[in-house]
Amino acid sequence: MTVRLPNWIRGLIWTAPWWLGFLIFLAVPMGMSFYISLCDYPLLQPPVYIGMDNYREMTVDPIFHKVLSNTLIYAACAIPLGTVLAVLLAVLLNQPVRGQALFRTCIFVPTIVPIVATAVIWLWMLNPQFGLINQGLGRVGIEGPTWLASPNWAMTSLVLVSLWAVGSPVVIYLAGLQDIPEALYEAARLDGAGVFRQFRHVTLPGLSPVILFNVVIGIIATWQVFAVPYVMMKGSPGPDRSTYFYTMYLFDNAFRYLNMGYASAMAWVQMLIILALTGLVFLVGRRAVYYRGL
Amino acid sequence: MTVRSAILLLVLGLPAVLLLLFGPRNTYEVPSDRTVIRYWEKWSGLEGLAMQRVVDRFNETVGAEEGIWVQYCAISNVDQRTLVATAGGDPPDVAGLFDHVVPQFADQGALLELDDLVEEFGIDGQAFKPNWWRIGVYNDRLYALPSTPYTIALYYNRRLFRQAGLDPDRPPQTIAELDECSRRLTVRDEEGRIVQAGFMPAPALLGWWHWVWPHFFYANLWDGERFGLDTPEGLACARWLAERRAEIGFQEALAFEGTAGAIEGSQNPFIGERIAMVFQGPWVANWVRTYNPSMDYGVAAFPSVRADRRPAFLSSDVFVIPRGSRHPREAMVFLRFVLRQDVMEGLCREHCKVSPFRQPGPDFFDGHPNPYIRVFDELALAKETFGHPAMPTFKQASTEMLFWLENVLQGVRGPEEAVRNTQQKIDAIVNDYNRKAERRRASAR
Amino acid sequence: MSRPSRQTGRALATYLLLCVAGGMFVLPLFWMVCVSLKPSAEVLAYPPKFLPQEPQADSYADVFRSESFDFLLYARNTLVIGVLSLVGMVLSSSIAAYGFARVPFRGRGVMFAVCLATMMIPFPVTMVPTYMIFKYLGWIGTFQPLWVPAWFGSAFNIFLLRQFFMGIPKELEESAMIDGCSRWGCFWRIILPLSKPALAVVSLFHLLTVWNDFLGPLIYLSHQNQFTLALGLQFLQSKAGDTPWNQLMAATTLTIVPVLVLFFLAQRTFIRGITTTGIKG
Repeated sequence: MTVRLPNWIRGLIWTAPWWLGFLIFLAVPMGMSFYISLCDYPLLQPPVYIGMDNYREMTVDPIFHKVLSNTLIYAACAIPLGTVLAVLLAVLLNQPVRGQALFRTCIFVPTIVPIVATAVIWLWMLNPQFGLINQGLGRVGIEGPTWLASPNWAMTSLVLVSLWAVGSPVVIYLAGLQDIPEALYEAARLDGAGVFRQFRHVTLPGLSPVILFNVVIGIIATWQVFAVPYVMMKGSPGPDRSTYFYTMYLFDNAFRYLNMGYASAMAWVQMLIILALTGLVFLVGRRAVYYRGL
Repeated sequence: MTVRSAILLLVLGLPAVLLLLFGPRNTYEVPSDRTVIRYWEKWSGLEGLAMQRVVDRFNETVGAEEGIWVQYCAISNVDQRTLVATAGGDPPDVAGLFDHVVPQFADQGALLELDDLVEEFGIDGQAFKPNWWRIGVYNDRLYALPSTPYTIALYYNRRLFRQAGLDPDRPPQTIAELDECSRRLTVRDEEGRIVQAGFMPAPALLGWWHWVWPHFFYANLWDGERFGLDTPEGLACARWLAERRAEIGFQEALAFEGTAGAIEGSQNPFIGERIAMVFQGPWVANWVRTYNPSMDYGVAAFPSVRADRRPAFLSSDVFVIPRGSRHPREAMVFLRFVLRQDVMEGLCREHCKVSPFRQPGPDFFDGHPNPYIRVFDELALAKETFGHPAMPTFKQASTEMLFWLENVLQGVRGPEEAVRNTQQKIDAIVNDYNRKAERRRASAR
Repeated sequence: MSRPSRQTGRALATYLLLCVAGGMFVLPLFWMVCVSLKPSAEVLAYPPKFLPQEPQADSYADVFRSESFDFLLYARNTLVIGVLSLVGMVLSSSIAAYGFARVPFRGRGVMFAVCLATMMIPFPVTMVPTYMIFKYLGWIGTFQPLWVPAWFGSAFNIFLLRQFFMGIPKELEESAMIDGCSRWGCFWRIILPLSKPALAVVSLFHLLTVWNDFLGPLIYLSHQNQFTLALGLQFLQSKAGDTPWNQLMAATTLTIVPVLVLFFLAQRTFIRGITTTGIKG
């Protein structure tokens, strides 16, 4: 090749797979979706421009409020609980004991189980009569609730299921723990710090960037929760809509009621919420996160 | 190459390659000289096999003559998928749906109008019982043809009746009698837990049509304009539900509902003889035959407030041709074959349902697996009948009705409050839909 | 201060906690296998027992015979999609990553930042228009929507590969280019062979994603004989008339086994993949 193309053309050619995909599957659809969100579009008939009506409707739609609050509650429970559990497990798995690799595997395996399989397994685990959970509780003398059939306990069941997949953040925290220099622990011990104070003053700050990362990932993921509740509740909104989440309602609007305009409006609001929450986390992170040597 | 990679390649890689090369293909074998039409159905298992036999028969006889091949596909969530596929531009040529989606699909323009086609292909509506033919009509146009129809009646366990000192030949005819029988049939254990129930209108206990109960109090849920739950009749029904439940005890009833096992199995609450009366269709006879052949049961019209006025509920599966179907005429040839009396009645018999024809053939009743099939058949000719509310927004309304029932049965809301609440919600849904349709019409002008 | 006994005490406590935690995480899977081996009578026996009294493999035979769950067909479908998308994903992600790593051009930093930012865009925003695009292409009801987009790479994999490429010393390529090798030649003959570990991670995670993908097949596939394993399992579970639980668990076990085997044989690659993205991210 004797012709020497200018750098920017060569760059564009090399990165073409990405930006072509970006245009076709992201930029153009996002533009389309914004336009559709301003329309009434039942897909079987052509779209009709209606301005901000879809967004206006969201403010008065009781189902929208319900799914919004459900998803918020779910995120507010699952993310902190998941983080605490993951950090504690990581610390535990970091201890030099025999069979460490085996334990790490045990905790990680559930994350590679297909989501549908997870839903099916836990559907049976949480069965009020024959499920393992209620059986176990029964042995201790507690009568377990009807879990997924009860409006009060259905959300709890789903948070529980989300905690089962905590192995993925655990692995990341493990790597983060190994990055914390032993010297810091030594110094803390010399100052007379016990196990808990070491944890609070060395481990936590050391892990803070990783915690930030996982919380952001957690926000993005929990706000889009769909597959597990969809499969477990067989597509229905659950008892009194207690397990009806944002993406499920979006999906129903798009593919069951063929209300594409409203679904698109919901999607844009969802993105804004995620961006806002992520921004908030980063702002908090600026003060709380300790970047060692970065 | 490490040992690990070698094992990986052998254990996973080899089967994967073998599967890719020699595994089952997802293409059907279709003869190349015929027009292939796709037929989506909800039936799998035994019902699916029965329909597959009909399809095979068609392909061998009429199909061979006319150069048509029907590809039978069992589809889950067939109504939703058909709607989405039609909207997505890739619909099947003919689909087997439920009667209650016809108003929604027709209103949204997803179905082909069949009036002219039916006349052209010689399918005579007069040969069918008027109720079954009318089920496919919406806004005075025909959008669906009757597939396997069914009426729903009261099943009662005669042995349990005898045990409770009730006359097994006199099933309840009024709501009051139903309550009385139910009281006497309820059995509790020493701790007060219910081990046998009389009648409980819970979805978990085979009460599949959760919106139906107000009809037995003579409420008319849909008059074409407004949903009729918040009426004296609807309130009477709600109060009945709440009072009966309070009598049994909300917690005990819920716990009993939780013991309902799988429908196909001996843990089926009615087949397992744990509940004495249920509101169900003709196919129960199949369950009895498979899981409890010696069960002594009876069938009667479901009770209403007065014995002389007992509306009967009828419903049916239907055949439709989606808009955008590539071979509507070939689809009609197939449907004409399926709706031949001998073919259709054979299918209805195998599905353990009633026949849609005015004059069912002589061997229809004789060979039928349900000993009470005549009772079901007569219900289709009852003085007063009702079907699913013909609302385009039935899906959403039905969900609200389910919540209504759950709220009342679980004591979460009092009957009046629940009725008001649900009525408001459904009114909002209907108004919303109408507003959008109106706006659409306005912009089209 | 009796240091040794305190330490053994702590070690014991840790060990106990780990056993409990590990056990609790693995318990559902173990129980799944137990239920799949139980005869029907035992599944719904009351009071229920944990281990099967008379283990049998009948449920597995039933699953293979069942026309609601054609395991081999669904597995093959999943493999077809997986392989087709994998080839595209690896090729396009590595090419784009190389562009971001080695080819200096104006706006590269901005473009890469945009690429990273796209990872935050939730799927539903593009779900509806993407569906419409595929509708106009006539691809609804085929496998295409499930593997063609992979041929344009993914931000996640591009990020991973770029980091890896940047870790390879530039001198190798520089000396090759002095000898007359083109950029493409450098990429194909030097960088790629050296990137086997990263490519392994990308491939592994992509296969896992395809194996587990549920929403995509749910939206784009309609014929039962096109189902992937994830969709097929959900179909089995949602059948009206209820599937017996032992059969359902047998089907679930079959769906999980290949993934578990893959994990156990490629453990280090899995873990490495997660940690590299997690830490550098």
